[in-house]
Amino acid sequence: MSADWAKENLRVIRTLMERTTVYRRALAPIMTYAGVVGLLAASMAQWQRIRGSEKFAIFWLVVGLVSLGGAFLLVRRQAIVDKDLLWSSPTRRVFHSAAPFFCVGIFLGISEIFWSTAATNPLYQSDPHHPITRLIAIWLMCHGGAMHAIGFFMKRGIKLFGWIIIMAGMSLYIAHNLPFFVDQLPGATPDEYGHLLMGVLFGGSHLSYGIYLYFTEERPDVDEPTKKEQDEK
Amino acid sequence: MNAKPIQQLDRVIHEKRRMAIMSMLAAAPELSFTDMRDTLEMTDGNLTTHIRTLQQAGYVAVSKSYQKNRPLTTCALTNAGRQAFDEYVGLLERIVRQAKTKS
Repeated sequence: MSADWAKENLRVIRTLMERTTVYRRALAPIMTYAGVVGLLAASMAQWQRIRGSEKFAIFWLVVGLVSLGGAFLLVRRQAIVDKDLLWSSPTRRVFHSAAPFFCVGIFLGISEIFWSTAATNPLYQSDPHHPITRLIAIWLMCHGGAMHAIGFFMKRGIKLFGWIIIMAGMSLYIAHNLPFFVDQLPGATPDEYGHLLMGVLFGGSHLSYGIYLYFTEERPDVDEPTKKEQDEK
Repeated sequence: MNAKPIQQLDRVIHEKRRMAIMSMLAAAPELSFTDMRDTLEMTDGNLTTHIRTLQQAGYVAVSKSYQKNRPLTTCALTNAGRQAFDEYVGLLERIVRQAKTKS
């Protein structure tokens, strides 16, 4: 009996703590939006036959910027609806925690654009064979790190989500270096599956997480105090 | 066996509305009075009463300033408040854990 209200109180506490900040309230639409953008972009890239590491990096950096821009607009909309500050102190902390990882990811993407030739690219000297797959693996690890860092300011499994993305990046990094795995692929090189990997690992994962958030959303259940409670005050 | 943690629960926090106020303040460095009022859907008078109780217990610090020439009241948890809230949450978790091991 006491365990039930203790559990209920903990649920109310968790829900209210999560709802205190704008970025948390906008998390489900942001994840869903990023997922849909990722999947649409992957389909478009496949359809338009965007090939080569240089074009790949440019295309997906633009997709990343579109996702970030959309996420910003969603947070802004939420802030207006809630009459909240957009650039509040918790939002600043979230931004600062994720910024280093995003910077590394953008830097690596840009380096791929300027040094796309494997022979001249100082970042890929050790592995000139599958630069696109390697870039995806590193982007995944950076993105997972950013999600995990954001997770310190909100709950609902975002740290776990970050770890899953990091593990996916590490697995891809290992797999693309294994001749056994690469030889099994029907295509000539894993880079041929770049857009598919981006669509599934970024788009698919974000969409799944967004759907999970929608279905597990809990509303705070804080009723007006009863007369007895008022008297107790 | 289960009665012990229940008896230890802080009476000041262990009230639905005050617990909600403490929860919100635990998640942010500070919050405005209007933010809390709107999120918790409380009346001005009700919120003021509860904040005063928390203030008297030394759990919440209230500061008044001006933003765009309009008065702004903000609340924040004190160190004592944060510690009391952590202890309160810890006790609730203990109650839940105890019930789980019993069943």
